[in-house]
Amino acid sequence: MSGWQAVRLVASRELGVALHRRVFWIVVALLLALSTAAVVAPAAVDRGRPKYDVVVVDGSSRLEQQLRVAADSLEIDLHLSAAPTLEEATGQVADGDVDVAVIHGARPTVVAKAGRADTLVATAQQILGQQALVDRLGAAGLDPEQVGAALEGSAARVVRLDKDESSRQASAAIVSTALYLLLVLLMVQVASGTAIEKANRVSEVLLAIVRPGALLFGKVIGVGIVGLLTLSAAVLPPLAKLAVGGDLPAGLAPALLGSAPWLAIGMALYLTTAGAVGALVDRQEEVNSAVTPLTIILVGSFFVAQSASGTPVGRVLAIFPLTSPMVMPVRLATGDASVAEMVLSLAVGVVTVLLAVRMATGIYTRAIGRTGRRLKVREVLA
Amino acid sequence: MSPTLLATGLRQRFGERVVLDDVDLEVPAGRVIGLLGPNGAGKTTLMRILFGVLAPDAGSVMWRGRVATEADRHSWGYMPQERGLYRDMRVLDQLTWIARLHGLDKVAGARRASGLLERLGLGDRAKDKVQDLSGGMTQRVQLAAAMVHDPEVLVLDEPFAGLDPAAVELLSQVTVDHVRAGGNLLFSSHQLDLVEDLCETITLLHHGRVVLHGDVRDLRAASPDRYLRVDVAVEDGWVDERQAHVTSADAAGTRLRLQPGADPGIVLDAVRARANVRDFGVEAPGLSELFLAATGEDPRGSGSVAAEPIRSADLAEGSGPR
Repeated sequence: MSGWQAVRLVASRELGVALHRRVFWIVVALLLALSTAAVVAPAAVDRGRPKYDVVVVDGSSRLEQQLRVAADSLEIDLHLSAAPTLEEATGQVADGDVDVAVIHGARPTVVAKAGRADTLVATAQQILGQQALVDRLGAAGLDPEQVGAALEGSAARVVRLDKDESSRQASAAIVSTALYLLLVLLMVQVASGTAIEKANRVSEVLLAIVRPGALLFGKVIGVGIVGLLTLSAAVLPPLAKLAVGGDLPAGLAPALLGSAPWLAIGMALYLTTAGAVGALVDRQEEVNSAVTPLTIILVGSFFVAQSASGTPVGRVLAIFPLTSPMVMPVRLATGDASVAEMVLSLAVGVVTVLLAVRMATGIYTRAIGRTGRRLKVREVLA
Repeated sequence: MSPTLLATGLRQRFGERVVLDDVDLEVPAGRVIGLLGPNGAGKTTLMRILFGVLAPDAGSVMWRGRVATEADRHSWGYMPQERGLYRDMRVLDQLTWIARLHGLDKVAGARRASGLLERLGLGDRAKDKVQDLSGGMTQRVQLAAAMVHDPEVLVLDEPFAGLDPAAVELLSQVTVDHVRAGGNLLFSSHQLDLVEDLCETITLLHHGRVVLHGDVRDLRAASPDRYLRVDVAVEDGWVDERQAHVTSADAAGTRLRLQPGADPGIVLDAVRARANVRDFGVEAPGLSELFLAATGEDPRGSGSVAAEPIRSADLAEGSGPR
């Protein structure tokens, strides 16, 4: 039997056992439901731009155009209609047929119910005032066209920065939380699975049949696939939405797709190390304390990823191999990562994975057969 | 020449503790070989070394006249002392999976596993999870796991520990069948009396050293010691200490070790003068008595020998380093 066949058999056993567990399907169903809700709910809640009905008295095409331009910058949709008199327009507002009445003329007036469409009311007031100025200057003999153009030319530009910033931050938070939970859960699963096999002496039976490396990698790959299947339940709904042409929060798609290499590095690094740690302990109860150092690194990376990914510290930790799987995806989501950083981070990550796999295999091989008490890394490698 | 599994000059130490000290072992095909000794004697370590689970500090393991390779070992069957099975897997699924690890395809593995389960009286439990089986049944599944790929070499570490007599009989029969079919068999036990009838050749380990080795019949015949067995309880003072002394006593009767040159007839007469003896015999030493003679440990040194029956298992417990 070749090594890879053994790895495949060990991995498929892990997968088969997981698929038979009820808790696996509960978690998958829960994630699927939550993720679907997260994707569908905003669209259901978001009714688009607010829409206002505005009636204009004595309007001009110029006034209507100004109202439309102002509404657009306020992200408001307007439906304009005309009314002959102030009274009739006021009546329409009072009846609730329209939201705002804009009365041009000798006495410029804006009518709205108290507390309704405040921004629009203020803007309309400003436009009417400007219009009145143009009218008076026209009456004083100036060319209304020139006056209007002069006024428009003097209007201050509005530039909005970081339109997507908050949504990018949200995407980053979603991605780093998912990665954190996934890595911690899978790590504990690999370590305790290994510890159980050691304590039950299953490993002793299996070591007489296959190489230790095949046992370790089979478990890592099997548990990893179980984790990815679980993750796919969370990722599928947003990807489906993307596929049918829907919008995702800014940064989520690049974070999800771009994170894949770092997810792979993180899983390879943390899961093989967890396998070696699981081989060191003697009883399953010791697993949690044994994986604590790894968990602390993950918790630290999680906090940096959540709060400081854009800082110089975040930049360094996005390259440092133990933290990059958590921090880099967030920098991808926020758009902070440069191509050079990504390449460097991947290169460092791959080299570290190769070294870690070698070391973990060595520890696992020497520790898995030594029962009776918890072993220290130093004495195993000595 | 029949295929032989041979270990020579094995040495193993864990820290300061010497677990195996220049141990040789020969397991020829077609013979039932027992690796015997008390707990902590080094039996399990020796078996782990045979299987390459542990690399010895010195010595080598040979198979068919050359150094055993990983591929050789993976073709053997091993039943470890502490039972190792996935508890949440179904019996047949688990055995089939192990067969596949040995390189059998799924169909052949399942067929072989089903056949073994039938032979071991577990045909109706194939679909049960291992955790739902009794200890004795689990042990039988463990034996099936060691034999599922039809190995030439079968190595069983304490296969009979904790089994009821019927299960011991069943397991003995299956293992003897393996030997009669030309296979190699090595099993270990600390229960010397239990396996006395099963072993053809023994290697006795004590504190990591071989203290006795050879054909059981030859060893027993070669021993100068003789024992008188009577079916009554013999009390202190009944027999002249210069003629014989009590070595063990239980519900079935008493066993007296005859002093060199003592006349068994005189000893028997002394007992008959006190009690009505219906059954008696003069016998060569059993395995536990050979062990005691070989290790030089005087059973009387352990105290209440005359009052308490001494069984090899009792002697074995705790006499070696753990």
